[in-house]
Amino acid sequence: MRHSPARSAFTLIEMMIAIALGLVIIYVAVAGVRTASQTISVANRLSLENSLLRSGYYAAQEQLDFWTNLDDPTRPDAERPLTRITSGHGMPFTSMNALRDAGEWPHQGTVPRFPSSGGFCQIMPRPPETSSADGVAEAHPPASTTGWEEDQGWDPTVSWSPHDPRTWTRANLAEKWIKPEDYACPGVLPPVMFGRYALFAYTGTPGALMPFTIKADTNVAAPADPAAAAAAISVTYTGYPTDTVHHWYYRQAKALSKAMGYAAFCEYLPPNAIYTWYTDSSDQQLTAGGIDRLCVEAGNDFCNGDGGQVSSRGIYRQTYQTSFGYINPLAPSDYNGGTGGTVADADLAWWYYKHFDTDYTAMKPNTNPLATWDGVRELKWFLGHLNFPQRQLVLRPSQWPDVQVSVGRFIKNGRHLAMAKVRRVAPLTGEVIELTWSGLGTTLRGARQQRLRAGGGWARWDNGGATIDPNLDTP
Amino acid sequence: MKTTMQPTRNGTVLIVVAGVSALLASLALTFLVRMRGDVEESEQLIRYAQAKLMLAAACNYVQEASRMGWSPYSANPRKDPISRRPPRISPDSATTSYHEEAFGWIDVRDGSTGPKNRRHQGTPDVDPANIWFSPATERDRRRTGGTRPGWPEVGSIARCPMYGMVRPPYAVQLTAAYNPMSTTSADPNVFCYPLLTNPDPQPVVANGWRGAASAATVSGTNYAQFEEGDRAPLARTTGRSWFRVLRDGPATFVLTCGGGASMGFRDWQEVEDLDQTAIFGGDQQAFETAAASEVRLWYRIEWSAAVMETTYHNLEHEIIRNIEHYESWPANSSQSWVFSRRTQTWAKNPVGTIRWIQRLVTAPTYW
Repeated sequence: MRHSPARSAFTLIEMMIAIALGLVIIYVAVAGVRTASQTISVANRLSLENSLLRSGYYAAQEQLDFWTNLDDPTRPDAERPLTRITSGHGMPFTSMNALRDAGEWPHQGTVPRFPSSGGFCQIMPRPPETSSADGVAEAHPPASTTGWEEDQGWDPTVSWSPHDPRTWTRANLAEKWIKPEDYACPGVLPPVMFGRYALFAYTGTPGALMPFTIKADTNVAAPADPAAAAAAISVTYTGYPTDTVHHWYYRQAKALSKAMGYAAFCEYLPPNAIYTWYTDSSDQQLTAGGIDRLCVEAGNDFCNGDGGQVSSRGIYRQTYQTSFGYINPLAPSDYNGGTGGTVADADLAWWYYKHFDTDYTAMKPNTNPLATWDGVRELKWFLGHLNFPQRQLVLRPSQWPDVQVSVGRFIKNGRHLAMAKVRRVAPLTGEVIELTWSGLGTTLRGARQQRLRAGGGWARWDNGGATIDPNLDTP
Repeated sequence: MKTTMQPTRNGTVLIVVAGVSALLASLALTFLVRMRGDVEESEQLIRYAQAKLMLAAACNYVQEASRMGWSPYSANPRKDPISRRPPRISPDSATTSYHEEAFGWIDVRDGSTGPKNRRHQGTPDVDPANIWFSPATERDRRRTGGTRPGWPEVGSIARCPMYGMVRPPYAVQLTAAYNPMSTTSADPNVFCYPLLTNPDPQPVVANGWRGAASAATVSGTNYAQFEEGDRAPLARTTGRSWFRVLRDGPATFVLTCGGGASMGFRDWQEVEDLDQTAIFGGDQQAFETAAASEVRLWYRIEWSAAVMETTYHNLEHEIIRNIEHYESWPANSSQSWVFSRRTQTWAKNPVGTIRWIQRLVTAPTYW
């Protein structure tokens, strides 16, 4: 019997099973590799996204500490608009030295200088002059140097920089009140409205403030101690000095308000500053202790927006409904008739010398179609131009996420805020993730001390004997 | 008949399997490397954020230290009856130390360098046993020509490693509502009223209160523990951040803010000078590694005695109308008037303000 030769190949069934198994294996392998590849792709994408977000975070922190979003001292002067003097106004990074060179700044150890006429507002204490604008009747130019001492403060060798803590000496404000029926001059406001503060801030005629007596408040029980009770009953002032009234607080405050913008003005003044001063100018409604116009008249842009009450105000009152901020000069000029392009210097100065409503007056839109003012629109503009977003990567592949960074600084309710934002926009879906936090970092004064007084660049500071460079605040 | 695969076919399969495996392994390795890199970068970011947080902590410390008073003894008098602290007696005693308030880094009474006590005495040397303050060291003195005094004198340093305590002093429970309103009672005098039957807040340590229904009363038995807390550091919070203060002028300070595990020591020499090598197990390399990987930021600040503002949004104007409106009241004013409606000025700030903060572009020589 002859046997058929041994089978040397697979049957069809075996082949089909083998092929099927092979396909499954190949599929699993391909799927595994594909999944792994996709995982890597997703990991790479998320890693890139995280990396960009981290870089955005670092960029925001750098801006919080170095203010480079508003002024980069390593850039050419043409790209540093906030260092200029524009339309008679300084900007946040205008050096005191530049203001001095403009004739507004005293030299160390010398009497204050002053402009011969006109020009922007005085930056520092000045000798008497005639000026109807501020309601102070004085002789200009001065016939002599008599009276200059009072404007230099108590140390004539000190130039009284706003940077000097002694510039902002405060008086006692606790003795300001008497009952209406006890006014020395019935029918007018009490002459001690600001306590003995007038010694430092009276800008009117010397001796115009009359003697007065603070009497006991009859609504408060007298102290049991007879001596204390006697002391509390009345305190008599025989009148303010007739020939040594100091003007320098008023002049410095008013001058400072034109040096760096209103937000900086609020930062440089001490937190307990009163934004008013005595004067008996005829254009005010008060006598014997009237109040100058700067901070209280509705027509002035530093005034709080809710009214023109003639009264003393501190920083909370000035900013509880109104904010002042550091608007990014790179933001489009689309306010006050701007066309949306690069902001002109004059408009930029206007931005820094304007108040913005940030409270109830900004809570609803103006429904009057003829109205030009709209609180909601203004608030949106203010916040959007404070936190003007800047791209981390200007040139990037289209599939990369867009990361934008901004730090907005403003004052609200007496608090100086620095709001940092890092925003990620997904390239395909447009999904937005935003990280927002209130940051603590360098203040404006610190930022000015970081910058060289002239020529651009960073100012060195060291406590080890190395050179300390002059900065923007160096007189 | 035995069938066998050709050697070449065996090799092909091996190559295919090995290739796929290698591909998967490389992808996995790439993934791990990427993740590790991300984690390391995130860790660095966390250290940076913690260093920035230390700026707030350091500013708070400078503000509070202007007024909180200084004592030569760190121990709480209640804590240890045999401590060196003398009994608490009148602060007017000329011979006994007393933990009392100071009057600012620059004394608000006469402009002299503070902090000083009520008798215008300067600050005593701080107890070296107090971990919050580093006394002057020989190395410090060498660095400054032998002039560096002990904290808090001008030129001295405070080193402040930060951590969470097991139970801080005066710790209270975090209960959100000790007296929740009743929403089930049928009694109209009870329904929706927070009847304030429980003391609020309650200390973390037991004070004897077992609820209003138990008629228990609050006991002062554990008050000492409440007052002292348990200052032992929480393990997971140590070695993460610190700040360091160099008082370089009467009211100016160089702050070093750190995110990392060096505990605020400048270098190993300082660790040795202060006899603190045990913190790092005596291992200099461990300290150097920690210092090399941490974030250090340098700032300079100035303190001012000026506190808040004087605005008084005057309701008198709305109520009485015949007197001045928007009066100005100083913070902490003792003047009062029964019809006054003080608002913002209730917010007290007795510790001064920070006039300015400046991030230093480069590390200063001394810090």
